[in-house]
Amino acid sequence: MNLQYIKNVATLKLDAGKCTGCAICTDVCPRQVLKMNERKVEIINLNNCIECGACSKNCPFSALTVESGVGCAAAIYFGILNNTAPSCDCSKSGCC
Amino acid sequence: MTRPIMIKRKTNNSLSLKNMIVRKERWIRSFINTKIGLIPVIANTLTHYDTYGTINARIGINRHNYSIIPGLYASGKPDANSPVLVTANYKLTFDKVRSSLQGISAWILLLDTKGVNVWCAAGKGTFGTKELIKQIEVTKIGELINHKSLILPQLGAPGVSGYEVTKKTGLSIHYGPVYAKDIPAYINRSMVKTDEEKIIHFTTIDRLVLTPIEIKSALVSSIIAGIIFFIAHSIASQSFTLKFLNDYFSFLGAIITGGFIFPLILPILPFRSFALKGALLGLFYSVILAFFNKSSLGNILFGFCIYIPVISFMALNFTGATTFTSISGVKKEIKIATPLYLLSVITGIIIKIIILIRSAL
Repeated sequence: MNLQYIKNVATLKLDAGKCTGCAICTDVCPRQVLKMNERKVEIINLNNCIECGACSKNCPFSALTVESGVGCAAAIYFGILNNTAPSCDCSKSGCC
Repeated sequence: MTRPIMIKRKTNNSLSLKNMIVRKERWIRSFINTKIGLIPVIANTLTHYDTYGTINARIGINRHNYSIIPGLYASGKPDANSPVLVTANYKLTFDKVRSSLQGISAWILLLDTKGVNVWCAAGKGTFGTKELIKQIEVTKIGELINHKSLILPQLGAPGVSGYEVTKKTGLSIHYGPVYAKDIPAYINRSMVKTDEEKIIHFTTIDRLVLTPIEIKSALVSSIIAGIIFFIAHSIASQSFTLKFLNDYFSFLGAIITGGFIFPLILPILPFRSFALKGALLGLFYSVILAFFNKSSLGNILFGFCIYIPVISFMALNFTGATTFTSISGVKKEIKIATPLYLLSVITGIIIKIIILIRSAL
């Protein structure tokens, strides 16, 4: 079953001008968001994106950008309360 | 008293052999001598000690301390042409990898993720570029292999920048399958991955094994709620009373609904939003509670005001354990849901206070 989350929120962006078609991003994406289209990659299912950041981290040409981070509600609350980036301090809470 | 025999090491391998012998790691079968030093050979079959440890970790006993010493290990009889598999030093992760390698000779390089699985550690950056480069340099794995390449779990990719590792160490990075069970087939295909092996799943079993931890952390809050109920009821009746038990068990039921039922039926609940999915389940719970308790109107309203946000919040919190939610989505949900939660809970508390005051008069 293909579980899906909220639509139209993913921050993934592709700068096609920088893409060289090496396809490493399609190799690391766990959600089939990207697909090779002839000589460049294409975002085929943006709503499937979970913003894990695997593609942008492994793109040698910075063609892909995404605001990734810990997608855990407790971590985000923790970040808001402490005025820091969401951090998943697993030594205390039961997350991940 | 006999002291464990100290083995002289040729190089600065991060594995502390002395530590391991002292700790009597049961999954180490023997050691092989290589040009970079002695490397422990791991067992590929899990024993009841491993199963016992897995169960403990899943219910939260010693969970944050279930790690093994990072560094280089051997499966079977690896040589210079054998693949190198990189993974996390969480024992549960390591058990999955080594048991999938039955009959396969390979090197296993464990990164120090502080005992956290690959996916979470990659998200936090501990399964990352820096740590991988460090372990490559410390173990000198590059000197052991002819092919100059490493196989990383695909789910480690959010933390590791493959091209940077190659630039710094000269070793090329292959991202292998998501699941350890697919490693043998992947190796047999000479590091070619099928589309199916790239996809992350979230099965009923995957969700169920997560529930003990969810419930355990929620039980702590139920004890606090129980104490508050006890004090409130005792003040209202001006004596110690067991009247609070009804409220306490209702709260406990809500927590079990949020921590166990929610993950179980997640795929069949409508809506994409976790807060909404949880609110719907909370609504169901409150209705069932009202029906069985034959409560007064005030108590029914109290139930709606408290249990809907409690279950909805637990549902929202479960996003962190899923494999299909995004931080932007969770942020959006939190922004909308938090004021509603607060409003609802405060209303519920006011209703309860009114009920208690009226019963005291």
